[in-house]
Amino acid sequence: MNGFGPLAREALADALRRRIAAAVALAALVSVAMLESCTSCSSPVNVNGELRELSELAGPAGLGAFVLLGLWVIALAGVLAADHLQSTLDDGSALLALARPISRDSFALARLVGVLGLACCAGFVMLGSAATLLATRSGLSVAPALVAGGACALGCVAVAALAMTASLALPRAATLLLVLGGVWVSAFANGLGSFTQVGGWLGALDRLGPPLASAMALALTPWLEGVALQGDPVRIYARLAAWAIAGVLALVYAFRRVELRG
Amino acid sequence: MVTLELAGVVKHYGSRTALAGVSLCLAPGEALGLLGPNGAGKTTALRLLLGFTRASGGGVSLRGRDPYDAAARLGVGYLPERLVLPERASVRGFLRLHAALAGIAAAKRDAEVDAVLATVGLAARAHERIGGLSKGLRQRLGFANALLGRPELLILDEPTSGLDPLGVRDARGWLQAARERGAALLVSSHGLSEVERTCDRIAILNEGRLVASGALAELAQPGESLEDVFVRAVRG
Repeated sequence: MNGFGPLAREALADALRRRIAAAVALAALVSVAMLESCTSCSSPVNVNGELRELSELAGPAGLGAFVLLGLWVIALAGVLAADHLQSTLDDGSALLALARPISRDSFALARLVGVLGLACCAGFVMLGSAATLLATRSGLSVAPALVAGGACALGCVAVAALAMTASLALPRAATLLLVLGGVWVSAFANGLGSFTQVGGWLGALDRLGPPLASAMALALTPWLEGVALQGDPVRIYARLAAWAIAGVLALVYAFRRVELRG
Repeated sequence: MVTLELAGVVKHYGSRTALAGVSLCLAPGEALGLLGPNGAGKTTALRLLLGFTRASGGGVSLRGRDPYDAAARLGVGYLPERLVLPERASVRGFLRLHAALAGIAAAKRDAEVDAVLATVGLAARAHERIGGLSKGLRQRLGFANALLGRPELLILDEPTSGLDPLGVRDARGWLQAARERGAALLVSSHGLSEVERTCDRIAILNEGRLVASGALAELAQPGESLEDVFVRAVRG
């Protein structure tokens, strides 16, 4: 992997220089501000005509908020990846690096690492803040959030690698639609599948697709009292890891076959 | 021993044939000028040699290896026709990155970067952003990048594009200096006079075929210039 380190640093710098990086930073700050506001409220709420203390709802609300933020981070990684490699081929800047004794694998993986670096920074701020606020204000344990953060990171790898692979064959708009549609439809299927048996293509997507939402939700199950989500955590995490590995392998394979024209 | 070789290379892009059975070779220390009208297949030949694309048929080797093998490109300097540089990077930062990619040891990178900056006349602009450089200065930076690490093979696509007459003269000097230390040159260009001054041999491509190859003295009839040879080879 000669040259991987300098290329990865350059790819991260490229990602940080993009206009979307400012939007990511703003979105992260807004998310933190919203969480701060939501968790500081102390008055009781009316649930089906019954007044309940917010602390009683902290578990399910925290799980929902954490999974939504995690999905947002995963979608962000995919959106960033949708042109982070392809743009270097379109403008010809990849040619200067690939004329050096640098393997295509190193180049593609370095671009992926650049995207993941930015996505992980955003994820660290958003999910870290969420976990801290939920722990200090609602007394929820931090350990499940750490496991869910790991699942989110695996989801980022899988989605970003698959988005980069798709971008080598599809126009950018199509790749973006695929990423956003894929993440949210997959999450919807996971959501349904967590509580009931789902058939058809949604069921297949839940059972075979990347378990982006269910892996995070299962990790956060200790926050729920008396509620069990469907699914074996070990198998779910293994499937997510398999998708991440398959995404990276697909990227390497596809990039080896690309014709560089510049 | 050859530095690079195309042996009966065929390259198709869909239904279009870019190269149709082209054979070329370059020995160490030799300079070959690749000429041809637009669309003749010159840039495709360079892309094949750098491993940017695969041949549809025939054999390609760079320093005795498959150009797809990254190790084949060790000691190769490349200047593309369309030079895309990172606008926000500094001149020095860009060259430091490429010194690392070229495999130059960390302890020697600064000295190597300083040396090429001095060679191409950009030492005073080392800390400027690339986005602020004129086209000619960018081309000088492209040359500096190609010359990093004293490569044993330089592959240059339209190397004098964007250079003013002084820059063209300087570039001739840089290439001459590279040759004096034993580097081989493969120069693709429309600048016939530059090729004539820089190269030992000439290869002329037309519509993907090699239509003439050899030293100018072998190709030219009495009283003919390189331009006459080029026109005769291309138009028949």
